[in-house]
Amino acid sequence: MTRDRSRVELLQGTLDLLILRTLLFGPTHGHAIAKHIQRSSEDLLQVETGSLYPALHRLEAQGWIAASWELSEKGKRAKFYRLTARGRKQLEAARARWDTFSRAMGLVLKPSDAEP
Amino acid sequence: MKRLLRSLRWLSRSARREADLRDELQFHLDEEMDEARASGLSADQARLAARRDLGNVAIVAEDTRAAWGWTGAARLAQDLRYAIRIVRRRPAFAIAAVLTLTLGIGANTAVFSILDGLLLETLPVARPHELVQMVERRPQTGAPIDAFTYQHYESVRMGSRLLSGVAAASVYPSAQGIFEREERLTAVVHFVSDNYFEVLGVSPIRGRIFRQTPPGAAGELIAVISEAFWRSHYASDPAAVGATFRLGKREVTVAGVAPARFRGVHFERAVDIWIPYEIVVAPNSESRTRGRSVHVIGRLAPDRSLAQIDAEVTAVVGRPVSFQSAATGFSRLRQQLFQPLLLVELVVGLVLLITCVNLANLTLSGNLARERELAVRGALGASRWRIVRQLLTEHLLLALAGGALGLVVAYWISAALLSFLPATYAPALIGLRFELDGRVLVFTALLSIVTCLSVALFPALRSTRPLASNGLGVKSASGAGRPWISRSLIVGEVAMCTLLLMIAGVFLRSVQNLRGQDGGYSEEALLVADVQFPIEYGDDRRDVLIEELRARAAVLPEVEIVAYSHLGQLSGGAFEYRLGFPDRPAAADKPIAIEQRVSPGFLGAMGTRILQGRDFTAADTARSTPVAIVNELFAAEFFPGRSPIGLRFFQEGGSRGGELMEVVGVAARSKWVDLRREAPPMYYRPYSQQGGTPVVRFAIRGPRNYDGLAAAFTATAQGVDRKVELTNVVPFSEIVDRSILVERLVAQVSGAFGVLALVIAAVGLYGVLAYAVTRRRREIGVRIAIGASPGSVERMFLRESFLQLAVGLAIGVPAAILVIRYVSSMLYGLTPYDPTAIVAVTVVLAAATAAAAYLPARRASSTDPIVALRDE
Repeated sequence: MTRDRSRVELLQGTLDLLILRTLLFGPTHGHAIAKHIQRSSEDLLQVETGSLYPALHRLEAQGWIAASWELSEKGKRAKFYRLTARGRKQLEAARARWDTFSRAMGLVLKPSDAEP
Repeated sequence: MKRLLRSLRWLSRSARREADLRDELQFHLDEEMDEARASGLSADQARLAARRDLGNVAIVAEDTRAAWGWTGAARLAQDLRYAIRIVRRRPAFAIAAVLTLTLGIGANTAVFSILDGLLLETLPVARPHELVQMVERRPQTGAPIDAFTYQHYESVRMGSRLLSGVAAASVYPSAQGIFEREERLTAVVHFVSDNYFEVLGVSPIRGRIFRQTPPGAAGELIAVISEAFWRSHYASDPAAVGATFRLGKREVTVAGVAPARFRGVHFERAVDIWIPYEIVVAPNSESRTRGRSVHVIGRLAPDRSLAQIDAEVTAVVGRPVSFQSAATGFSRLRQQLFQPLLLVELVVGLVLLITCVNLANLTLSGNLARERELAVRGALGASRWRIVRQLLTEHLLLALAGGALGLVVAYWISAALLSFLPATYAPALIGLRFELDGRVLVFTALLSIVTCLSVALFPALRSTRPLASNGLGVKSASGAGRPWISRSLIVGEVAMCTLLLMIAGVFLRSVQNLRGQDGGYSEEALLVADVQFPIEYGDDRRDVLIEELRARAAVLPEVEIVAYSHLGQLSGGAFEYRLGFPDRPAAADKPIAIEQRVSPGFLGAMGTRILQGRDFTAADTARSTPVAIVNELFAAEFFPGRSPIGLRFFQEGGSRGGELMEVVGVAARSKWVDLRREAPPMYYRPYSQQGGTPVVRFAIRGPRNYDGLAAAFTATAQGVDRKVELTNVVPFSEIVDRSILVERLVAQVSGAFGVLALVIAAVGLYGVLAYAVTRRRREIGVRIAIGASPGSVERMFLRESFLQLAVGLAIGVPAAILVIRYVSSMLYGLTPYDPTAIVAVTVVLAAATAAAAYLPARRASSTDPIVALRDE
C-alpha cells in the first residue's frame, strides 16, 4: 500500500503518550484512537493493532485510563476508554519528559537552528 | 495470600474478560471493514483488508492478555489442563514415569533424611559451629585418635589463648548403677569437666549447672540431670533439685536440670546424669595422666582459624594434634556408617539418574511422535517458549506426583534401611527416623523439579527447534530423529547399570565370602542370650545364680547343651593377655593371646571341635588345678612340634595373673572378634576358676523353634531371680549378621536397587527400540522388498542393541572399578577387579538386553513390505 511509503516506526514507549494525549479530547474507543493518531500525524504514524490493544489494556491495568462499554456513534456496542485523574498527571509528566527529550535531540542534530 | 485471592478472583472473572476482549477486537474489525466499504471496496475485499490490518487475531489477543498482568496463573491452569489430557492419553508412559520417579525420588529422600540426621544435625548448644574437637594422627596407621588424657586437656585449657573455652568429656557415657535409698537403678552417666556446660553454652531450666572451680578449691559433689530423666525418674518434681543419690561410695546432689533438647554430645547415647570429672577422679590420681579417656572440646574464638589453633596447641601439648569441627558432636555410628551411606547415596543417586535418562529417552521418542501436533500449535501462533513450557508442565506434573508419592515411599525405605541397625543403637534411631521437616521437603521438591527439567528440557528444546516446525509436511526431514542422541542415552543407562550391578556384585560376594567361610562355629540351632544378674548381689552370689540358670535351662525340652562364656563370640570384643612360660626365659617381646572364660560344654554348644584332650568338667573348680584349653593356632605358635597336653603357661595381669595353667585340651580355631579378622591364638579357661563378670553370654543348642526356646529360657531365668536382665536373646546367626552389618546393608541396598535399575533400563531400551521400529517401518519395508531376509533385519536390530551394550560395559566396568577401589577396605576375599562379578554383570546385562530387544526386533523382521510402503 502506498501510504506505507513514509511511515515512521513508533519509538518505544511513545504509544502510551499518544494514547493518553488522544483521550484528552474525551472518551473514545480503540479504533477511533488509532485513526486519530494516524490523522493528526498526517498519516506518518501508523498504529499497529497488535500493539494498540496490549497498550490500552496495560494502561487500564495501571489505572491511567478507565474503560466502559457504551454505544458508538453508529449505535454499536464499543469499549470506550477515558482518561483518569492519575492518567492526566501521567500525561503531563510524560509530555514534559518528551519535550525535554525532543529539545535535546534537536539541539544535537541541528545545532545551528538552536543558536540565536 | 493476597496474590492467591487476586488470582482466584481473576479466574472467576476471566470468562467475561475473554468475551469482552473478543467483542472489542470484533468491533475494531467491523469499524475497519465499514471504513474500507466506505472507500469503495466490495464486501469481500473490505473484510480481507480489515483482517490484514488487524493481523493475527490470536496473537493480538494473546499479547493483550499478557497486559492483564496475572496471566501466569491462567496459563499455568491451561497448561495443567492440557498436560492432564496428554498424560491421560499415554497412560502406560505416565504410570511407568510416576512409578520409577516415586522409587527414585523416594529412595534419595530416605537416604538424604538419614544423612541429614547423621551428619548435618548440629548439637543443640550455643553457636555449635564454633565447637572444635582435638584429634591426633597416629604416625603408623594415619587413623585419627580423638581420645586424650585428662592432663592433655588441662594443658590445652591453660595453654591455649586462641580457644575461648576448652572442656573435656569422657569418651563414652556409660550405663551405671546408682543408688537412691538403697534402691538401685541404672542411668547413663557422663563424666565431664566442670566447665562443660559453660563452654557449650547450655543453661539449666531448673537449678544451676556446675561451674569451673577456682584452682585449689574443692569441687562440690553435684550433678546435672537431663530433662527426660527428671521427667521419668522425678516426675518433673521441682524438689528434684537438691535430691541426692549414691554413685559408688559418694553421695551426689542434683544441682540442676538441663534443657529437654540437650542430651549430651554423643549422637547415639542419650545422657541422664552429668557429673564433674574433677570430683570423681582425685587430682593426683594416676588416671589423669594415663589412659586416653576424654574428648577435648574447644570453642573457637570468632576470628580464629583452625590452622592457628593447630599450631598453638601442638606447641602446648607437644604432640602433632589438629582440630576439626565438633558442631555435630561425637558418633561412632557416624564413623561406621559414613562410607557405606555415601555408597548407598551413590546407588540411589544412580537409580534416579537412570530413571531420568530413561524418561528423557522415552520423552524424546514421544515428542517425535507429536511433531505434527507441535508444528500445528506453532503455526497457530504459539511461541517456542510457550510450547516448551507446555511440554515442561506435563513432566512437572509427573515429577511432582512422583515426588509426593516419593515422600510416602521414603518413609518405608528409611525404615527398611534403619532396620539394619541393631537395637543397641536405639537412641540414635530417634534422630535418624524419617521426619517430614522443612529440609526434607525442600530437598524433595528441588529433586522433583531438577528431575523434571533434566528429563524434559532437552527433548522439549529439541523437538521445538525451528527446523522441526516443518512437521506439517507429510514426512519431516528429521526422519529417524537423530538416533545418536537416543543411542548415547541408552549407552549411558547401560554404563550406570553396570556400575550399580558391579557394586552390588562385589558386596554380595563379600557377604558370601564372610558368611561362607569356616568360622570354627556352627550357627545352626543355636540361641544366645546376654544374662545379667544384679551387680549389688556380689560376684559369688551371681556366679551361683548363673550356674543355677545353666542347670535349669539344660533340662528344658529338646535342649541339647547349655553353656556360657564371659564375652560373646563375634561381638567385637575380646581380652588379650601377655603370656609367660615357666620353662623359658621371658622374651622382651612377650607373646599375646586372647583369653576366654567358659563353662563346661561351651565349645560343644558353639560347635567348636575339641581336637585333642578333654573339655572342662564340673570337677574343674576354683580349688582344683588351674587348667586351660588352647586352640590349634595357640598350640602351633607357642608349643610348635609337640603335643601341648600337660604343658603349662601363665598370663600376666588379671586377678589370677602369674598362676600356672595346665593345658588339658586343644580346640579347633574359631573366629572370635569379628568375621574379617583371622582366627587368633586363643586359650579358654573354666569360668569356675576365673569368673565374676557382670554379663555372661549363654549359648543354648536345641530346637530350631527359636521363639519358643527364647520364651522358655526367659521364663527360666526369671524363675531363678526376678531381677535378672536379659538382652540380645536371639539366634546366633543374627549375631553373625550384626557383625557384618555394613557389608549386608550395602549388598542388599545395591542389590535391590540394581535389579530395579536393570528393569528400568530394560523397559527403556524396549520402549526406544519399539518406537524406532515403528519409525523406521518404511526403511525396513524397502530392505525386505529388495531382498533382505527377515532374519537379517532381526539381526540388524539386535546387533545395534548389543553394540550399545558393549560400549556401555566398556565405560561402566572401569568406572565401577574406580569407585569400588575407593571402598575396597569394605570388601572381603576379593579385589575390585573381581572377575566373577564382572562376568556375572555382563551376563545379566546381556540377558536383559536380549529380552528387551527381542520383541521389537522380531516385530521389525515380520514387517510386511507392501503394507509398510503403501502406508506412505
